[in-house]
Amino acid sequence: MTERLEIASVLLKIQGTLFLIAGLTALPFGIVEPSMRLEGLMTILLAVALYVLSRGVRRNRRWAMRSTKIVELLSLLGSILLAILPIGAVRGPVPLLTNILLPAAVILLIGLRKRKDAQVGVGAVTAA
Amino acid sequence: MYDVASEHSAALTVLLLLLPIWLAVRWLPRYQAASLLTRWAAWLMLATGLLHLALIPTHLPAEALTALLFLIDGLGFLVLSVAAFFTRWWRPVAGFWLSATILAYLLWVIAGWETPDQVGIACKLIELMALGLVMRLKVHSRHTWPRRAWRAVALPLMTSLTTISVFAGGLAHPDALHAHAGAVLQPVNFQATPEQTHAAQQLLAETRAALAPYQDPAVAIAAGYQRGSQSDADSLEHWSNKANAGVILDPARPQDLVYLRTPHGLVLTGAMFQMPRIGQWGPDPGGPLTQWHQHEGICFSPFGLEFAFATPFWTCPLGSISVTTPPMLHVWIVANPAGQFAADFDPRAARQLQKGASS
Repeated sequence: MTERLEIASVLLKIQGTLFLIAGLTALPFGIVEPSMRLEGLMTILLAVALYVLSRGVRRNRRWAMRSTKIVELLSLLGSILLAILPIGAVRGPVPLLTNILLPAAVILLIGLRKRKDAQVGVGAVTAA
Repeated sequence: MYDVASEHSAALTVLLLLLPIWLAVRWLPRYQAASLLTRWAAWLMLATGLLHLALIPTHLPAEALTALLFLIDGLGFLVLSVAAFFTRWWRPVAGFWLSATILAYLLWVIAGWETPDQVGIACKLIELMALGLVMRLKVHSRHTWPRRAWRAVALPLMTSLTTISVFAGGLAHPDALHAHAGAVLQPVNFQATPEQTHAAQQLLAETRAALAPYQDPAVAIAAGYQRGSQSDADSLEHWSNKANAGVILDPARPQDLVYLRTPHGLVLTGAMFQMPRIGQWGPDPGGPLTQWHQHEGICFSPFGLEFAFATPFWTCPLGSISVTTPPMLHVWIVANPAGQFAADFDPRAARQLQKGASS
């Protein structure tokens, strides 16, 4: 059960680092593009939040689990929506891995953990 | 910026093998007894191992050394993915093998011996995940604080190093199909034939003649062109005509007119032709002289209509979306040191025009 959280925590850490680099990459563009400055800083904050969530998920904290699910669901839905639009947002294996499979895996790992918990609970009641 | 190299795309199909392998091994007692972390690490190593082996045939004719390294690497990953279920020693070896593979790829990219493409970058992402999992497999006897601190920062550091190195390598050594950051060029022959040179000159002359009336922006507006987004970062403006959306390389009906903002008004610098769909290369009468380009992995911010580059792992800043444009061809009707059909307008030429207009 905790192993699922351990794996989710590792994936969150990688995702956080990818966002950190995206935020830092946007900052030089922010010299001449004001909104990129803000977006870069917001992305760095998101990366820090993902690191915190990664730690919280590994320690089985309820708030971390809930927040991670919300963040990952938003990320996944946004990516799927962009993938449907004819703008070439998801082209090739890398965006598929990063923007679709990574958040989906985190949601599944955390979601499955809850389902397993429920099954263990039902099993314990039946046994009693 | 990072597409799937044609010689690499076939290798991706090898991942389909993972399904029958999973169906075969999932009932084995050894597999069922293994921890979930071990299983995930093994699957990821198997995936990257198979990808490395599948890349050998396309690299063997021209890059024998790289093909040999792929063979060693791929076999190593296959052995480790099996050893994970039978041995105790596999974990440190897998950590070393994964780190060495990632670092070797970065060396190859920075040295310019390999052009980063999506298959290579996807492999690195898989290996980073596997490395993260291998590092999380607990060794209870050694829980000193420097080890714990290292375990916390090692993966982010490795991921950052990978991203930055691929970024730097790709920008420092663009291959023939990557003229500038963010653009993928149409594959063409290296040298223009006399016929192609003549055809390119003809296209330029016809475009110049057709665009002459649009020196006056009012005429462009009357013809249906609409002023596009304006950014302080770029003094070029694209004016689009939606009625020309489906037209293919007609000098009389370009999709966009490109104006330069100067202190004394707009100066028409050229036209931009655009194909209707992503990945649909246009006719190139001038061969390498009239090469179309497609912008990939560009982070577009709807707030202020601004742009940044997506990272090699295709991530954009929060609020921006990654976009790929259909192929486009610029025809510059004013002198452009970068070339009359270049993807970019030379900034020095822009400054000269702005000075000329103000004097």
